Amino acid sequence: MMNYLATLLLKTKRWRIQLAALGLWNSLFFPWFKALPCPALNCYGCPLAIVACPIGSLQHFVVIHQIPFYILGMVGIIGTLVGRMSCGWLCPFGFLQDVLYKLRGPKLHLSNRCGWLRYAVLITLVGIVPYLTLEPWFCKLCPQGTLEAGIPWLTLRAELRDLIGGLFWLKVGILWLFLVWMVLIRRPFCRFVCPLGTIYSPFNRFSALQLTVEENSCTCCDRCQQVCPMDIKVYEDAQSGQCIRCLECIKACPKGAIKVGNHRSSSLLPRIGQSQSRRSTDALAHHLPGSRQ
Amino acid sequence: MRIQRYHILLLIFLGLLLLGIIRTEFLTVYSHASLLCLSCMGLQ
Repeated sequence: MMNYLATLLLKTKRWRIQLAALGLWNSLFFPWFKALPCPALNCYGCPLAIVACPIGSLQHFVVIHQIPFYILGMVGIIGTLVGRMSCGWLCPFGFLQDVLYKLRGPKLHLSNRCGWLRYAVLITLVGIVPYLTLEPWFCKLCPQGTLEAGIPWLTLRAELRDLIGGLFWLKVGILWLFLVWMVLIRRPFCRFVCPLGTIYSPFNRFSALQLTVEENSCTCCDRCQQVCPMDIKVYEDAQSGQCIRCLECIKACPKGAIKVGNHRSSSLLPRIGQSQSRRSTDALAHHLPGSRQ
Repeated sequence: MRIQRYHILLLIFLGLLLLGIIRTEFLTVYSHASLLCLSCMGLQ
């Protein structure tokens, strides 16, 4: 079934599904869906939102000191089936990041080494701080809330403008910081901040949908990293917690080495050194007299 | 069909979801999500 889903998704353009998801989560028509958590990060404070933000709801349960069985069950089922795929295909904020990175301008590569930051955000801003202060602190700082709820509501309702204070301007500052960052590097919010992606991350190793790299076909050419919105080398770890299952690497791989399959992943880590030495030998061969260019 | 890890996880999370539904947590989610969220807007 997952193979069928992946085959279907590989035939469609991802931006179309992302755009459709943005429209669906914010379509205004079915407000009773707010009892359902959205599979991706979408602020329920948005005037058009029809679904609940899973992180906002999770925090609400933390604030009232209850275990959120319903939210954990929903998020767990999605994660178990498709891992972090909803980040790649259904998240409006992820879509915004993909679009902004396509803008012309200087591009920087930032290693995923600081990826642990998102675990810190999840534990502190979604867990400990709301539990102690009884306030949803991630929502208070979330840049998506500013974009989807703060700015639209303040535009629509003049009476709310009297409530503008330091916190609002801090939120606007955080949003601007991320907007600039999104033009410079790929998906900074997803890689270093997003608590929902962090919850989905460990599921990549156990989910029904798995990526596999064929050891014999992969040449470690790094084409997968060039097209990856999360800037990861798929052949190093196909089930990496940072992978958002966008399947761009499958489309881009010149050897067709990356495949969807629900069997155990293959890591090419032991082969990287071997392949690098092979590449350096190839590069040397190009400079030898009589060698083919 | 061989039982895999994700089958067990799916059962566990289905159980959690059912428990949440029995405890009518979806009503809590609905009532909270339907309110005007001042925290999301950065006004409170």
